[in-house]
Amino acid sequence: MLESSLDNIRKDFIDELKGYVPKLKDKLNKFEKSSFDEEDLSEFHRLVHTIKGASSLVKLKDLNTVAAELENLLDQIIGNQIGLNETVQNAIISSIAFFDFFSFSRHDDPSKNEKHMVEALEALQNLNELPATQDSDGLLAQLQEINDFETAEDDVLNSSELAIDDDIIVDDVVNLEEVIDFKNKLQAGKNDTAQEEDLLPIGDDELVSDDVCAPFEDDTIMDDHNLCADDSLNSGDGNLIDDDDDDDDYDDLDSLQEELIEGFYQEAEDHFQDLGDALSKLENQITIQDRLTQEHRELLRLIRRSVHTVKGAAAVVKLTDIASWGHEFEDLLDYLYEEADTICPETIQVMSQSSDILEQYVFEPQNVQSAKIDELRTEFAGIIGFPNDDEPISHCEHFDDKNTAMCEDIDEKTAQIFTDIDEYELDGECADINGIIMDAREAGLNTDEIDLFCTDDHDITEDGCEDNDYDLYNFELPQDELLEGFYQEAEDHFYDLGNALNKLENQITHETSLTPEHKELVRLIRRSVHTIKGAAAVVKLTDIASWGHEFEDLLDWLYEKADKISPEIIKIVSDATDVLEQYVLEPRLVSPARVEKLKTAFAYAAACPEPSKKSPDSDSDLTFEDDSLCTDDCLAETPTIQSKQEPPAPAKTQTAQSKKPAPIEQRKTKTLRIDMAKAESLVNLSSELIIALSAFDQNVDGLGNVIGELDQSRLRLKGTARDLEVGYEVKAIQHLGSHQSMAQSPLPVIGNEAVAFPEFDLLELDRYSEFNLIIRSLNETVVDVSTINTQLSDMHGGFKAYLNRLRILLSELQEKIMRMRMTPMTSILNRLRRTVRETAAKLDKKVRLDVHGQEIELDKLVWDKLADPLMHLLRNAIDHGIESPDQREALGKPAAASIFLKAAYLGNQVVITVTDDGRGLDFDAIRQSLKSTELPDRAKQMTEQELADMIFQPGLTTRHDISEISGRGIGMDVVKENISSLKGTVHIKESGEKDGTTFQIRIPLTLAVMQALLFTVNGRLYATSLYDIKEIVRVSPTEIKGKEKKSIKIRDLTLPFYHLSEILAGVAQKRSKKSIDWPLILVIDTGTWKAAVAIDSMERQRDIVIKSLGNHLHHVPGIIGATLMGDGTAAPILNIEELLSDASVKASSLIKTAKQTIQNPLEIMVVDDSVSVRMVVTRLMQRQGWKVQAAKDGVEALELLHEYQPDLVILDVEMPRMNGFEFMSAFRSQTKFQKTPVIMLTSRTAKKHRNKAKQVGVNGFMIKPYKDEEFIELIKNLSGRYPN
Amino acid sequence: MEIKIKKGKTAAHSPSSLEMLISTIDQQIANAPHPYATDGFEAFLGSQLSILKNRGRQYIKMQLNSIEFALPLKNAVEIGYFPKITPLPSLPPWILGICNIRGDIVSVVDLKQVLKLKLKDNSPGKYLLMIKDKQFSTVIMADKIAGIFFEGDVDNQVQKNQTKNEPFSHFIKSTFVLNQHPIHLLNLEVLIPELAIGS
Repeated sequence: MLESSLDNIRKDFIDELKGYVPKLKDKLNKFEKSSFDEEDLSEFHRLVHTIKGASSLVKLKDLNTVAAELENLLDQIIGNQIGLNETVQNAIISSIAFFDFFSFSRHDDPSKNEKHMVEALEALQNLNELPATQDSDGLLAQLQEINDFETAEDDVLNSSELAIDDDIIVDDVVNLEEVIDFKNKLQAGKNDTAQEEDLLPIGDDELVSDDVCAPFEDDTIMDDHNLCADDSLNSGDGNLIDDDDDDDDYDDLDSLQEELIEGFYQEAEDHFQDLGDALSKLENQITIQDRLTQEHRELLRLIRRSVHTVKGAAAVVKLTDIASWGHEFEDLLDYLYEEADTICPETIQVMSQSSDILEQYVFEPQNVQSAKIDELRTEFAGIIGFPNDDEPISHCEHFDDKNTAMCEDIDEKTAQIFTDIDEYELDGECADINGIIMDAREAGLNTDEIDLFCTDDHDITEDGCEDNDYDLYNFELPQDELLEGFYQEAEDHFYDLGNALNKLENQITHETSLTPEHKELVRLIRRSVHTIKGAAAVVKLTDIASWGHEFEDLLDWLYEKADKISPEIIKIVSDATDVLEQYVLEPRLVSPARVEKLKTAFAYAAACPEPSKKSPDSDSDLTFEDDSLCTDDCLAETPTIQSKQEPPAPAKTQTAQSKKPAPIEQRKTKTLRIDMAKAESLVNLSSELIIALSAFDQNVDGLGNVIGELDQSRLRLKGTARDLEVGYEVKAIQHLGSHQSMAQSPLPVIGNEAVAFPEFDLLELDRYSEFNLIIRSLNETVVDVSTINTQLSDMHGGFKAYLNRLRILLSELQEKIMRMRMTPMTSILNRLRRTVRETAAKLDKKVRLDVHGQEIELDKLVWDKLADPLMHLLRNAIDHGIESPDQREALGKPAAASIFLKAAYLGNQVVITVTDDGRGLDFDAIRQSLKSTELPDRAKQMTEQELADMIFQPGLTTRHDISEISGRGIGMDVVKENISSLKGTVHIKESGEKDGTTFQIRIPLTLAVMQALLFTVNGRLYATSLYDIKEIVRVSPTEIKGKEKKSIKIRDLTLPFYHLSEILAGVAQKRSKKSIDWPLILVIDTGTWKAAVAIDSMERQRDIVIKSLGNHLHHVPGIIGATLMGDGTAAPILNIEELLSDASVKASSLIKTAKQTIQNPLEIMVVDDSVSVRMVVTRLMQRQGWKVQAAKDGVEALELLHEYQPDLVILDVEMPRMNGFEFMSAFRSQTKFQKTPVIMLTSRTAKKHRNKAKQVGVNGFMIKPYKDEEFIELIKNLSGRYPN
Repeated sequence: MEIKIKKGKTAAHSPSSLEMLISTIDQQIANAPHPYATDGFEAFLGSQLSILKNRGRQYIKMQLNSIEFALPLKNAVEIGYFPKITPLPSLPPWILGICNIRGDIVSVVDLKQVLKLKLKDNSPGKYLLMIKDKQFSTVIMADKIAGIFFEGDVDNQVQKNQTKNEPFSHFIKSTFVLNQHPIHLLNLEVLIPELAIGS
């Protein structure tokens, strides 16, 4: 058995502690005598770490707390963060004193522990400046809490036989790291005790068994790369094993091992996550060879901790390969953390790849490539350095070759700098490039070359030569993936940058002192720029890195040195941001002239002009108001137009860029990042679907069984019917003609009952004839069928429930999948902000963009498509709507105009409004413009709303001059078209001289699914968005007023009235009486447009999948798309507003199109008692595209005709209940059917039948069997739809 | 009537009969003149491909008002019967509407109207032929899909100028004569842009 109680383990541990304390005291003595060396400190740290880990495992929290604090202090001492002064010494002494007291007196007098603990913690926490529990009372309270916790826990533990493995695996408090530490340190302790038995009496619970194969100290394990496998582990756990029950012990240990491995994988995942995070931060920070700062070391420490834990855990669970590689990796990290002074991006790459290998060892060991490992080992050696190696590899060695190549063409001073670099490198250290650059700058040198050299990954030299050593650092990293990652990351950073910049723009309206709030915003901007720069350097996008570097210099100055900030500075920062974004998204469009001007502006702003770089024309006349920073030529400039003075960085960049494997032209993100929680919910939902499906499957099986039973009953009925036919119908025929009827004839009696009981009268004793039995059998079958019917009904109900469940799950699944594609508006905000900035700058206006609802999500594709229309609206607002600052001031408006961009959810739509505070629409100008078109008369009568709508007409402009921004009369129609293609609408919500103009855009949340109302008009099925329908009512025809332009009064509201049958078919050919009397009306309210629209009938409401009209039709006015119905037919989805406005536009002859009418499908009623005939005829009719309604006899047909009006009737003659002739009399007696053509389909060919048919009003006669073509021809002729 | 299965002696003779039968078949196969017996199957296949290649491009032919038209087979992606057509408003009369082809919405074009043929019975045709060219696809209607032929099978090829009097000559690339019947080859480069609307 394993140890059953934690107490025993604690006892063992206290014994261990008793052994550690003298050692600690010994080290402390050395410390006091100042003979304390680094080795002692390391050993001291190890012992404290062991105490911390073990105390945590055995849940001695007070001891653990002090040990943890002490270890923390020792970490700081080792990391040279804190010196070994008297206060530190006192803290250490207090801690050791507490350990001492704890080890000997814990169970005797806990109050003494408290005293010592308080002392120790006070001393430690004062050192560490811990905010909490700084006073004695607080510490006592903390201690009390800990003791309470321990007491409670002990009670629980003592009350049950809780095995130690449960503690290890299950308890959240103890993680695998602590288990490992505990085990390792315990073993280390054992080793020590074995050597120093006199110091640590072990007693009965001897921890070291005889068969310990090797010391279990961390380093020893890892150096050997060969753990003591099972034996060592078992013996390592020997202290936990009771010698009496060996067999059980091994079983339990196997189980423990499995659980440990399972736990290892779970924990490893977390550690890889931490490792990845820290590595990523380091990657972002180390973009050039740089000195290791404290922040870098902290990240290295985190990485090392994760690697160490994974390594240790792997060793414990006997995954030796992982442990081995982890150890090698850890060596590198040890070197970097403890010894290295500088670090370069190549080293980070090596670390990343080593981490990948480690992860691969854990999760995909089969994919680990030994060649890769060898390669990395060489890299390790290069970084750490092996002085005795025959061919030492310096990690920065390739700098020499590069320098040699570069130094040929540079001046002497620059050469000297590179020589300096060489010297640094020859010393085996990475050069402090930044320091050299600073020196170079001070010397007035052009440092761009060096900058590039630092930020570049050395693959491209100044003269464009390929770096020969590049291959050494080409780790076959998937460059495309890196690039993709970079762009994704950049997107986020640009968003943060844009946000901070926007806030700064809004706050800085005039020159002002830099407040902490401003500085914080500048810091955020700098952080984003820095990260983008760093990431760009890592993925070898040198131009971005180079520009980022320049930009960062300005931000450094702004953050660290500048006292004041002005809108001009903000403008420079905005422009620099735009250039940076352009470099990332559209590098082709970056204007070198603009870059050069910005650089000059940087220098000017930072008050450190660079004479050697200044362009002649910028010497004296550069001001911040200089529009050249964002002038037309800047915007219009393309790379083919080179400025006279090419800025060095972009020039290099272009050379470098041309050699890049992945050219970045107009870049679009290929990937979609999805929240893990969203993906998880999808997985869960799919599982539920599978469960629901299996339940459905089971019931389908049940249904099959019931159908089998039904079939049996059918056979029985059939047999009974045959018996009746044979036994009685035949007999009845035999009796035909005889005077004795069936009723009178004695029934055959079973057996000889009548003979057997002659003494009974028939009334006194029932006699059963065969007939009686058949009836009984029939009754029984009826009961059976009834039972089956009940079962089937139940099943039907069940199926409905399952279907509902499936429907809910599917819709949920669909919604979640749709959500995965959703991105917030922030994804396009930077583009919009840039548009505003640039347009305002061009027009010399001051405009702020105020954004609300940036978290609103839409399909990513929708945002991308919406960006252009929004940019157009913003440009128009600035150009047309917003007055110049002078005009605004004269009008009493603030000089700086505001544009409000707001997004909000409204039902299943997103409503985006763009509001400016400008002068509003010039309705007179619009009216004037319309006069020159084809609508001079109509323009006079138009209301403001109608005039506002006209701005979306192609070719309409109120401007006499054409600028680069607007005035061509194209644009708003394109805006409308683009938004229509997204199934959305755009309107001018309001416009006034004082209030400005508000555009409202409505976009459906998704382009794939819509909640729709299905309805019929002229016999055809249509769908429309349910959201726009406010009400569905039947209204008395008396409420409809007007002749040409109808309106209807619904309650107190008068609305324009349209009949869709007229719109869709020119003239309503067929409407039911009911609909004529009391038309069914949809009250449509789209927010900007209201109308009452009459339909013929309402079908149902449902979610429909929107399909496009195909690549031929693209956009049909008034039609959003189509949806497929269950029978495969396509139903158009109407945009009623567009359809009706389009109709009105057509009426006003703005759009000249031929009047289209839709041919209704012919509706035919087939009346025949034969199922086969009905089916065959129906099929033939449907093949012609006609709609068929079938009835089995005249009675049913007449019932159907109450609510159904066929275009033609096909009628059989002989039918039960009501034959064809009788039907015709009733049919023709109704006025509405007097002219409906009827074809009689019969096998009766006699003349008298034909005459009779004519007599009752039949129009055509078709004899069975018929020829399809003839029959179709006859129908076509009689329908009147198909003229010859 | 009851069918009885004979057992015994006949069955005992079966194996020898079967062996004889197999032997006969084997002999027949061995003596049969294999088309690829001498050169091997690959050579045979290659020769067949070569023959096909020599026959030239494949075309699909159809009838509209008893006039035969053809278009390259590679542009025909679906053949079927008259689909259920949903008409739409605001479209030119030669677009009959839309239909569902394997879950996709496709427009339906009355080719007779486009080619300015007289409408017989006002019927655009009973068969559908879905044509596709780059990013464009639509369904055209035909009275009959008459089959496939190779360019090499044609007797003669009449140049376009000889069909200039036809109302549809604008859309004709050339005219094949196959079995003494003219087949007008539709010029999709002209036809498809003509069909494209609103784009």
